Amino acid sequence: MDTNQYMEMFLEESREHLQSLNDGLLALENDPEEVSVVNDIFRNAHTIKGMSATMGFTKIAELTHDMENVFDLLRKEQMKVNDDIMDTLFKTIDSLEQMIESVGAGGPEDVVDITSFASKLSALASGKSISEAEPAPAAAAPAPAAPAATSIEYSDTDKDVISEAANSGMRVYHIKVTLSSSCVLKSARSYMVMNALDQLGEVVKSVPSAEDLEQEKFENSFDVVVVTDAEMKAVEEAMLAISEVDSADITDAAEEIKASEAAPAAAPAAEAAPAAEAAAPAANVPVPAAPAAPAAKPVAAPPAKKPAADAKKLKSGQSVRVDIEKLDTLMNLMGELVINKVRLEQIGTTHRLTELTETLEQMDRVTTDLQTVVMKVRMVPVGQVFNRFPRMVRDLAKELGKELNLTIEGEETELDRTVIDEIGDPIMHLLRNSLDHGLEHPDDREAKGKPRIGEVGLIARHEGNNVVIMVTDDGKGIDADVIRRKAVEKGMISEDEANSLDDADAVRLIFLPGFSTAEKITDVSGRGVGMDVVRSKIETLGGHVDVETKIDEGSVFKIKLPLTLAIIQALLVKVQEEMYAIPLGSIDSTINITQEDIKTVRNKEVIVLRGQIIPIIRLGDMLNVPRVHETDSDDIFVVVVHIGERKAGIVVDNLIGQQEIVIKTLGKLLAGLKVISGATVLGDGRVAMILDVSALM
Amino acid sequence: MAKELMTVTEGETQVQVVAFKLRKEEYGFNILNVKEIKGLTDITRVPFASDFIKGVINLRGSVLPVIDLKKRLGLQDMEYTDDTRIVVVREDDLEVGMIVDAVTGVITLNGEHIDAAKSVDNENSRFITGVGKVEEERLIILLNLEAIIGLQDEIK
Repeated sequence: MDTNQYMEMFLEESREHLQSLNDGLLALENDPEEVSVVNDIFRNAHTIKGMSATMGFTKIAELTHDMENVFDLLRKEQMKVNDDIMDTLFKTIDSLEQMIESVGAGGPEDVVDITSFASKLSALASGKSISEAEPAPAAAAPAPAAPAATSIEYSDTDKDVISEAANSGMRVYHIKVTLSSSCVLKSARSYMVMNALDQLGEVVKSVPSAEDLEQEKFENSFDVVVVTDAEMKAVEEAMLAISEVDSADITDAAEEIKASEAAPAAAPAAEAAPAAEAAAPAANVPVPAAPAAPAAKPVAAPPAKKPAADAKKLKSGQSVRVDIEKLDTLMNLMGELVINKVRLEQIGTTHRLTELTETLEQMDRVTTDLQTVVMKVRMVPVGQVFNRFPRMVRDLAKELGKELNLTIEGEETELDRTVIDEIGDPIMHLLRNSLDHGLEHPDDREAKGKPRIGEVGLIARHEGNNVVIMVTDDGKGIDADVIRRKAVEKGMISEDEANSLDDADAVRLIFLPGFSTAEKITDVSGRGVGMDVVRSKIETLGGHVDVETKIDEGSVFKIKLPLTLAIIQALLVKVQEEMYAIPLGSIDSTINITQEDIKTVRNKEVIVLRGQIIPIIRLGDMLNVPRVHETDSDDIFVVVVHIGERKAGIVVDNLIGQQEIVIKTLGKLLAGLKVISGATVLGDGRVAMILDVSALM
Repeated sequence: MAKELMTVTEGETQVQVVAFKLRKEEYGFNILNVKEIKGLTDITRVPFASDFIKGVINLRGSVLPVIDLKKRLGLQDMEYTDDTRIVVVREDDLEVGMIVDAVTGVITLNGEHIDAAKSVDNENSRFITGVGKVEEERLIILLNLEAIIGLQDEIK
């Protein structure tokens, strides 16, 4: 079988299942009593095993199989969760991840030596098992167990439909369709089966439901009741004509109902067995019931937690996977549209065409809506990034010997996809920093009268037109004096400068390049390439990062990001003959001053605005704008901008106006320019640079 | 780069180049790298960019950096004329415009008429892959696009 075409799908799905496994294990570790979690992750493991075996990755399949055995014991409560087991399982998942990524990159499967895990896992599986022989076959062959699960339950309405159909001379068949165990696209196959049956007659019932079939919530077989006038043989042929359908057992449903009504006890009993097993697992129900459990699971009443999870999955089932490139194209086209709209608006205004202007106002509404929708389509919940942190934090805490409780809030907060892609590393770094430098060791905490277990928070929320992501800890905080001393030691600032800084500004020195206060260099952080990298990354995303801290109470790192990067409101300004765009988000106000208002403090030009001293930046000098003509010096336009609490006044020659602009990147050739964050195409077709306000200051 | 320049046609190596003028000399880019040729439009200066980058232009809605090819090759500057063109070239997934004094046409060079770059010896030799001869007197200097875009070295 040529498996290459499935590679992409295999990788994507494996990653999802591994993530679920990670999440599930973390949940289990937090609450070892919650065995229902194991049921879910068992299925994840089972799917990975099936898929990798189909793809011919025997090592991955083997390792997953060994892991599955352990899950099997856990869910049957024949083994209790302990640290040793959890560690082994986590490590196994890591290895699986490495192996899958390796095959994904076209490399060999056995990048990790699995024998040690395999033997450890099987030691776990056999050592603690009550009945040693049982778990392996149970885990290896849940599918063959399925055919044993017999008839489906007919409701009264079903029976009515069936008897009515039978009376009108139609046939009603109960078909049990079994897909081949190597089937990769089970939902697609089941869909084909349903389609074929729809052509023959009418599908009146399916177990599991059509929705569940679509979600692949079944093992290898499913039951369908169909009303048709076709012969049993024809139906069977139609079923077997579909590839990867192993068998189609057809029985007459009317007969079945008669039989079940004759012996009403039989069917419910078969149904009750797994349910009883689930209800009283500790009682160690007789062996035969156990292997049937996985196959019967969709029917057996799940624990209370399940419905919620199902509802969530169903919702995601209604979405469509779209290639990211297509979304980018959509966004670009949207940008073009906005540019042309603005151009038309300009034509309307210059030529005073009322009709055109009115029509454009209508169009403006439509494009604004369209733009909102396109933006929303590109939005992704931050949970996608956050969900990988619990695992990292757990591992890191163990490594550092710290105890903590990670709280994640606002996972549903949405951000533009481009931001999501980039935000992971900075957050990871901040978390590491909090764990390594922020939190104290449990003993130190106790000595300070704090609880042993530290609190680390990762919080996302909306704040106006921005999204704020905070990394908080209740650790030792940052000592401004230590920072001052270090900065002077490293020659980053002079002693005088250091003393003139207030505490908040002193702490901000940690964001300067080459700053690291860690006493010793650890593996985790403290290589002096930390916070400045975080800051520059956030700033390239158009956001900024700030820190608030209190000694012995903890620190809050606050990342503020724009909702979207693609289209923003900006103020266009003119310097000589050049146009620049300043993002409206960082503009405080625009003021008109005269030359006398500008004072000099320590050789730097400043103005006093409402009692506050604000430094002045002359944009023309700053950007070396060629002088084409002299400016009449008396009227000076100043755009007051702010980054966090800091303010500055940018002196420009003229204010053109506020406009919606589409941000275009300058490309590789011009990457990494200071002060310029991108470019935009104006209504008249010219290109204007967008200023990076944070770099100006 | 040199081998990329060669296209094998019926056992004979041939290369098609888009030829253009910079001051008095004729230069060429492999036609496979040339996307389009357009007239001069408004060029927006980019502050803090390398000096050979003239600026950016609006190419149907996207922003395209433009290199002043004469400056890049260390040639003396010249006023723009009606013949001045921007040759839009592509290397890997990077698109760049090059300002040239005039485009002279598409020329097919035979492999045996191309001399390797080492015969041209000056400070700019890294920008040059070879010199092609058409007819008796006409020489076309073949340029090394990768080096001219210069992503690997001086930028940053």
